Amino acid sequence: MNEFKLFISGETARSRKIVADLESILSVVFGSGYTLWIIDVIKNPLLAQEDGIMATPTLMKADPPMKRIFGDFCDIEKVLERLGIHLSPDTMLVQRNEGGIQMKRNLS
Amino acid sequence: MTERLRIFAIIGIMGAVTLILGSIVFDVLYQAAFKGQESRLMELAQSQARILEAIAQNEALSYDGDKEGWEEAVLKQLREAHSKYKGMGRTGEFTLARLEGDQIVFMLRHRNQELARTESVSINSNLAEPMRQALLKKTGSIIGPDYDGTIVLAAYEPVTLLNWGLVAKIDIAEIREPFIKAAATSLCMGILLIILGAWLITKVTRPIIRRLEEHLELLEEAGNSLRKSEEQFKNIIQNYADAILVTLKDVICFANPAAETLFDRPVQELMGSDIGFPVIGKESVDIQIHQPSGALVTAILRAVEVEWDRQPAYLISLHDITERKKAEERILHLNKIILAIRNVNQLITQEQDRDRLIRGICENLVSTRGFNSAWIELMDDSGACTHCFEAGIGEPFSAFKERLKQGDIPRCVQKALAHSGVSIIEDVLNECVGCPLHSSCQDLSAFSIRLEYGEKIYGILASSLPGVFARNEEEVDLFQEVGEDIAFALNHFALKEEQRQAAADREKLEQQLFQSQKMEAIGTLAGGIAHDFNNLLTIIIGNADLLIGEIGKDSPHYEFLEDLKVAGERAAVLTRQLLTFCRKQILQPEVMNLNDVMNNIGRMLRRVIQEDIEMETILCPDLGRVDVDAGQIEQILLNLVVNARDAMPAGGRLTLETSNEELDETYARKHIGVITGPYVMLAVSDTGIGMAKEEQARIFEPFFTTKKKGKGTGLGLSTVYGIVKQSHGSIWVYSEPGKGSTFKIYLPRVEEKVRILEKTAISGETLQGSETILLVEDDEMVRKVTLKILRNCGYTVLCASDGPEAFYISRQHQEPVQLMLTDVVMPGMSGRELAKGMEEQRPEMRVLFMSGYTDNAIVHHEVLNHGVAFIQKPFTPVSLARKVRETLDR
Repeated sequence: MNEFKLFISGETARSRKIVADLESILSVVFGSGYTLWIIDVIKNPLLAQEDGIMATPTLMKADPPMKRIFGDFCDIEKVLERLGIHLSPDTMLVQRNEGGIQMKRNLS
Repeated sequence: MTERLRIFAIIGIMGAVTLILGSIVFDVLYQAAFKGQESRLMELAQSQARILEAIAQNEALSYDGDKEGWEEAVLKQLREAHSKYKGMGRTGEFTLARLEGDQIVFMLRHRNQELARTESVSINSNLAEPMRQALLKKTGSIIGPDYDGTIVLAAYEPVTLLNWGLVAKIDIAEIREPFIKAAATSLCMGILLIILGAWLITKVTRPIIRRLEEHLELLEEAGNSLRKSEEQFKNIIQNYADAILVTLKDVICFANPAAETLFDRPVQELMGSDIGFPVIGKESVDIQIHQPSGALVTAILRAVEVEWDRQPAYLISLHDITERKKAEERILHLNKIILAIRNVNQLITQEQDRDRLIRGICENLVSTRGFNSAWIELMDDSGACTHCFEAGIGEPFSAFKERLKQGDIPRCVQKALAHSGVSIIEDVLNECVGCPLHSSCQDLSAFSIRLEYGEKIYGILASSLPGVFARNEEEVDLFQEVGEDIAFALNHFALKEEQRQAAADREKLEQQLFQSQKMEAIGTLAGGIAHDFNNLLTIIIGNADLLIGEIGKDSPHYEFLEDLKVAGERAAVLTRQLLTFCRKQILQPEVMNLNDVMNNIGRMLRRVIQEDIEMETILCPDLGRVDVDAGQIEQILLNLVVNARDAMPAGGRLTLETSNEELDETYARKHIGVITGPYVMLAVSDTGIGMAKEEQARIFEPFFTTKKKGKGTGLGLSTVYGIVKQSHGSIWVYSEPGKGSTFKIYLPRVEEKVRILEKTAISGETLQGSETILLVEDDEMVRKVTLKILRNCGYTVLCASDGPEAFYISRQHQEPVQLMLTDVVMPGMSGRELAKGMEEQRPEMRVLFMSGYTDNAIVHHEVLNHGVAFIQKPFTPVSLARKVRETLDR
């Protein structure tokens, strides 16, 4: 459940930022109840080939419905919407800027 | 199409339509009329035939078998009846005929012909076809040629009883005539109507048509435009450099040829692939395309929502920027290299401290350039490690440094030292086994270069860095440039150090020169004063001594005179010391071994120092010889030891040392007045209070003392200085406050054997004499006291106040003169000139010079010329008497 695969090309600063952004989103949405596999297509081309990955970064929801997105994932609403994740009303986005994405639960 | 053509076309169309319709109508009507005529003709023919047959039958009864009779009767009746017959229409009639042979013979007149005239036609001809059919006993109707060839519609009926044929006929032309007329009228009317209609239609429909035409044109244009646009669009998309994809529900449903190239997949494979949904924060984003071969292509992704087959879709464009990225990365890489070089050069230009510079460069290569580590070893001329600096290594470097200092040269250094330029070790794992840095360089490559400027190697620069750098030419160039820059900087530091050293040496030399000139000036001044003092002291001491001799010890004035004499003698000692300092002291040099002098006065020196001072003597066993005045050397040693003692009030260590030294050019350049060559060094060192530099600069000045009042005269070191200088030696002091002082005296070494002067022994103290002495002295008072001393000794004395007077007296005096006692420095003629002049007059006369100080007249380089007798002013009556006696007796 809540298993995701992120395909990246090399451990670059951009890859690290995307991983951090996704983890912050996923941890807010699922807490610790998610798995994010990070697959470097340079190191593991076969894994990318198995999933028919044509571009990176691509995020793939590993459990049905198998949805995939690619790009920079800066539009959080689109990311969540396309992955079929519905935010609970007490979750809010507090910041979205060049420095990354931060999300937190609105406890009030 | 022009309007006229259109009208003609309309007319043509309408005419054709009308013609067709009219033809159909006329044809129907004609057919109907034709059928009517045919029926009527048939009915007429049949009815007439039946009537004829009835008449014939009736006549036959009358003529009872006379066929010809009743045929004629019937014919007659028929002709009578027929004569009144008008016929049908204009050409309609019926005819009767019978066969006569092969001739068809008509029995009734034809319409419009003479009744009696019958005509006949051959049955085989093409004429009278209906009658032929009737005569053949056929019934029916036909269109065919009449007896005169006219085409007729005819109904034929046989009159069987009479073997006649009956034909009812009418000209086809008559049947057609009304139709032709009606058709012609209709045609004319129709044409008129058509023309009118066409005109009206044209008039009415013209604007409509025009509008329609316009619409049609527009539609055509739109259609053309659309086709063109489609063509262009298709052309653009197909030939567009960027990859274009259309995704419907994340699946590719369109891909252009550029996409095929970008993805390195055929369009057929791309179509239907699930690429995913594009999520882009801004306008565009860079993504990597993963080609089947494993190659990665960087592209700018843009996506917009579009409609495709009436469904929402995404139009995705991908612009290949792989080459640009590579170029950017290369520029970035070059910028980093330039930054590293700039930083290194900035450090080189700004940093004044060599060690800080080297450390800074190492840190810079690690922090700015991304090297894993960098270290620099500096070497001396022999190649031994003198300094090591590192960045990025840390603890393992200590062990490495130790090994370097022990001469254990690692592989990277070996390679760098072997040749100029950058040495690269790509296989650190195997090539650098055993090096303490081996573990920290694993999975890396190593660069090393010798820091070389001109022909001098200052050391080694080495770095561990990612393997990808090692294969990059720019990195190698950077490393080489940094190495060259460091070597340049090190050379610059070395030059600066040399310059600084040269400047220090020059300053020191200037100080030495200044000191030397100062001492010279002081010496000249002191010498001048000493001369006059010696004259005055000669008078004081001489007269005091003479008076003491005259009054005796019992006189109440004896003590005063004794004090006066003692004071005079003390003044004479001071004056002598001054003369020593200014090198006007008469030296009596001997070739000797300084070790002998040291041994001779060693005991006395020990008595001078107190018990808490430990004295050590280090004598060179094969010490060379020097040509010096032994008494003066003893004086030097005594003065220096006394000074050392006074510098160690709380005790300490005193070291006396002798050695052989070679003073070379280097030494001579740094020490003014030193002539290169072999020397004997005499050093006196103490562990006392030492001296500041300012103090050191003045210690050789006369009357300069740091001792308490009454403890010293301030002439001790100036005396030492004077003796050393007069002995062609040099003296240097090395001292630091709190650390003690060392005085080093260098005296020229000589190869001659030890030669000790024989002292003239004066036996029996016979100071009296009866010889004649010529006394020459410009100072009257000195002359007077000297005269008195000599006369008291029994000598005959001739007095002269200067040279010319001395010559005059000598010439006047006929008796022998055994000795001339003359002052050296006199106005006009000097004592030396006088003595030389006297050599001719009185070659046997001996000369005794007296002077307050020496000059070139009697000395050479401040050393007494061989065979010259000299007495130093001031003298006592005894010393003068002894010297005179000694000179006379020699």
